Amino acid sequence: METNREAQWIADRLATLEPNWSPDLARGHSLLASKLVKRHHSLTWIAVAATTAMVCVAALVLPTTRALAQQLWYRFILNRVEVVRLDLSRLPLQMQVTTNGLEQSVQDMEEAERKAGFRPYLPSPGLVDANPSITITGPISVEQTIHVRDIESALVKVGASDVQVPAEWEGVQLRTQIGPMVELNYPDGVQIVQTRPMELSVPAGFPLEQFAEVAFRSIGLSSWEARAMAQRFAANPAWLIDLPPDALVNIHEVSLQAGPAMQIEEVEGRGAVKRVTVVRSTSERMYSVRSGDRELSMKVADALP
Amino acid sequence: MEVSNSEGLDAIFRAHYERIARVIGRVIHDQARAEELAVEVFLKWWRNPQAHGEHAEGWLYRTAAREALDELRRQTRRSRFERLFSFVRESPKTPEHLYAVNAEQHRVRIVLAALSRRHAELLLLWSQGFSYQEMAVSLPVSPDYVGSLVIRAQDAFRKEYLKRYGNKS
Repeated sequence: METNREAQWIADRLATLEPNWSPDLARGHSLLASKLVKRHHSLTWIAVAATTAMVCVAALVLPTTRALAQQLWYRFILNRVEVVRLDLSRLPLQMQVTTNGLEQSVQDMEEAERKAGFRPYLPSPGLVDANPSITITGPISVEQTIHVRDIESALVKVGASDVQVPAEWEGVQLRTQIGPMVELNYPDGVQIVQTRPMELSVPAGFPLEQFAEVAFRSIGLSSWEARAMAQRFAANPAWLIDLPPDALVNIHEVSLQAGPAMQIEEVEGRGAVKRVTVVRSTSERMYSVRSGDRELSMKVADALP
Repeated sequence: MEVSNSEGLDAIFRAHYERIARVIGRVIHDQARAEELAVEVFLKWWRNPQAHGEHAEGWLYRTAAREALDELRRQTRRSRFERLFSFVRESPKTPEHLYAVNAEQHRVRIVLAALSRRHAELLLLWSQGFSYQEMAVSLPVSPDYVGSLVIRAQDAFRKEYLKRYGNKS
């Protein structure tokens, strides 16, 4: 009896710890998706979701005459890829990532086509052997909200005191739709990720170029650099993949028979190349091919239609 | 529960997130921080293939309890450090802080932070309503010993509480 009373007394003490709130599954799921996106940050298409902020910036500088104007939103399709030496995770935009589930494995190409909405392309036989395991990710929707105070704080931190952030930007939302992405993993370590170009939506009438420049400034680019980047993207908009300045990688533009591509070499501390990713795009598909062999990555990327 | 790869993350997250967050929430008062830690537990599980398979649930709850207790110990250390410097610079107390220092739950958390990890984990899962069988899977120990382990943990709790706060209130 005494033991029971002791146990009850302890149970009563511990019961005071019962939280007076209820876990928010939707918010938890969103947080999980957001962290997963960051985890994949290195050179996969999922990384692109993490860098959507800058992608939006790229889209924002598109000349409005090239945009497909909707009643309330401008929609943009980006199908060119560029790699930049910036840390885009510092962009001061509130990001909400939602998915219809996370990665899911599929049995064969037919199922992949059904779930992804497009038929994945495979390299020519002989380049990579055996059947790949196939996973589908997304679609991923990213909604970013501008908070003027956050941008102002970021500008102060980088010493960009000359930049003014219009108050009417408060609450403006930028929307991005990414994927579905099909990932093929071969037993010999070759990974191919492909997706259709992504779609960006921004409110009609939003001062795009001005925002782009402010966003670039807020992550530390100089006035001249920010303006130059904005102009470059306005002339030739791209889907950007960010690589922080301290990342141990070499980036080269390479010329394949299929067209220009970006080659990204991940380097170990002593300079040895660890993995090589080749990124290229067409009007209807974006590819990332990654392996431990430079020549193989390039051949496989070149062999995709 | 058989979970072969990352595709199972979504399913196991939906099935266990709320309970995991509640386990952590018993120790970490702040909801946002507790939910963040809960998400971290699932990410750790996902990155650790050895944790997949039939023992996935046990692994999740054990890790949740450890994450929560480790965070609690960090907070307790930080608070001790801040007290050392309070002679020099007394920062204004928030209503939340004023509430917490006077609350019974604050005492209970301090006691939990002072116990051995095993005792604290046992009490945390026990107070969350886990059956002996569930606790055996989570910790992991033989189900035959869970009862006596819980009694030892309760005894350790009672002694630590009395040492710190005197007679039981």
